[in-house]
Amino acid sequence: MVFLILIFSSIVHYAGLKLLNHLTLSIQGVVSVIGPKESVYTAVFIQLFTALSISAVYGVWIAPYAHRGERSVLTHVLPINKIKFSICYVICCSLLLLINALVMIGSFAGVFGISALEKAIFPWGLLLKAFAFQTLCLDVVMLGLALSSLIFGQVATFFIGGTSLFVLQILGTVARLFRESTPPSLLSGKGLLVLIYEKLPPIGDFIFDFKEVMTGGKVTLEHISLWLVWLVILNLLFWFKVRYPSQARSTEA
Amino acid sequence: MTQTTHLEPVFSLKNVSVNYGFSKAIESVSFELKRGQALGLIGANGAGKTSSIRALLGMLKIKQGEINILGEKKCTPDVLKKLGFAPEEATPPEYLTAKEYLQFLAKLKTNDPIQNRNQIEEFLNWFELDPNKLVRKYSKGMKRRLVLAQAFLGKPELIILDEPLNGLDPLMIQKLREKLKDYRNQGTSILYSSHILSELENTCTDVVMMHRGSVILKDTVQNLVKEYGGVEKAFAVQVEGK
Repeated sequence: MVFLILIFSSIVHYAGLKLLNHLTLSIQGVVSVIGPKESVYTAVFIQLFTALSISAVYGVWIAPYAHRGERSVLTHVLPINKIKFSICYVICCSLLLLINALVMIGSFAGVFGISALEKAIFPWGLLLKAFAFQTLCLDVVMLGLALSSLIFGQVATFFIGGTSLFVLQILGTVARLFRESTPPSLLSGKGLLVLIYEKLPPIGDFIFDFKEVMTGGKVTLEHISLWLVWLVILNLLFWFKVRYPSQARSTEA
Repeated sequence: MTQTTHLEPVFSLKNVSVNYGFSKAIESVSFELKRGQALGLIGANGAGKTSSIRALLGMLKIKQGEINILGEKKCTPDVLKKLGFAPEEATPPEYLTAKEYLQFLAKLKTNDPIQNRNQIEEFLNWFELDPNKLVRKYSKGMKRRLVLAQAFLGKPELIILDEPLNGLDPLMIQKLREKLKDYRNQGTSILYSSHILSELENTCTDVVMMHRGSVILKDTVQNLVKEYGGVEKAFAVQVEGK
């Protein structure tokens, strides 16, 4: 898995940044190249894409692997406290995301040179905060997908996951519009939808919050708390699911 | 944690009922296994044998009743260290070799690296397993042997075997019989669930017969042979009335 991530991540980051490095901008006759300082944010968003892919693959296939079908019985009788499984998967996913981030930094240095990593050009402080926030959010996404994979199966989760992320993104934008215009009324259908959305992991606000962190702003305490609460909830749900793997009579292949 | 003495049962199920959704899997099932005993669990397909075992191991939420296993009310990690289980249908992790898998399990069960190393080497030879081949390249029979081998790791006080003979050749069946005898002589208790009733006669001291989710008979093998002429005939009389 680590080897595959290194290859996948390296190709995407290096190719993306190399392409960026060859682009020129022509504005009103003034031609300029996209340098390292301008490329940092693009690199971080490319990294975000690869990180999301990694956490999705980990959640849909890797985390549930030992708990599905004919493997689940042998996993259940391992002399390990069941809560340790989900904690271990969160730690492993976080480490994989860290490797991915390091690959991004390495690719950046490979394309623009080691000097591009100096503090004047490369916003280390902001990046560390952004990675920490991203890791928290993607661990929640990973656990959600893992739980769905155990309950509904991998193929269904692939579609459920994609649809959920899409719908939550839309709801996030709708919620923002509502918050900015009028306070939502409990009697209004749309208002109720927004109220429900505000209790879910703020996936729809993730891009806005991530951009906020990258530009030196702060994520609201409400959002951080929601992500942390859902991390705990999904850990407990995953523990409960692996605690009783045999509630269905037949097991999957 | 309490230690089980030679007087206490190794495990007991008392009036245990389990449902799968709205359908009954087992109802008011009670039986126990005493230390050093080899208990055969028999019944037709769907009788509730595997459900009883899974309820015992905490894999199913019980609707009612009490379970006690190795002195505890549920299967904690400490209990699982002293227990070996070979399920009916199971596939070990396919991206490990047999040796890696047994090493991983042995480390979880005991802290004695020398004992672990010796035992793993012994099992790989005894169960005729290629130590360096990935599990996904194993045949069905070899996977079955690996699942059985892992049940004997450590020094289990209780070994639970669910249809252990599936996929085994006659030579391996004979070897398994000898292995179980060895472990029983060392004080390990055995719960053996099987359709092959003649094998149960050779291996077990006592029998629990299940039918449609309930226990219909509990007796020693000796008594069943005396009264019915064998376990198979006892089963036929009890279940089919012949």
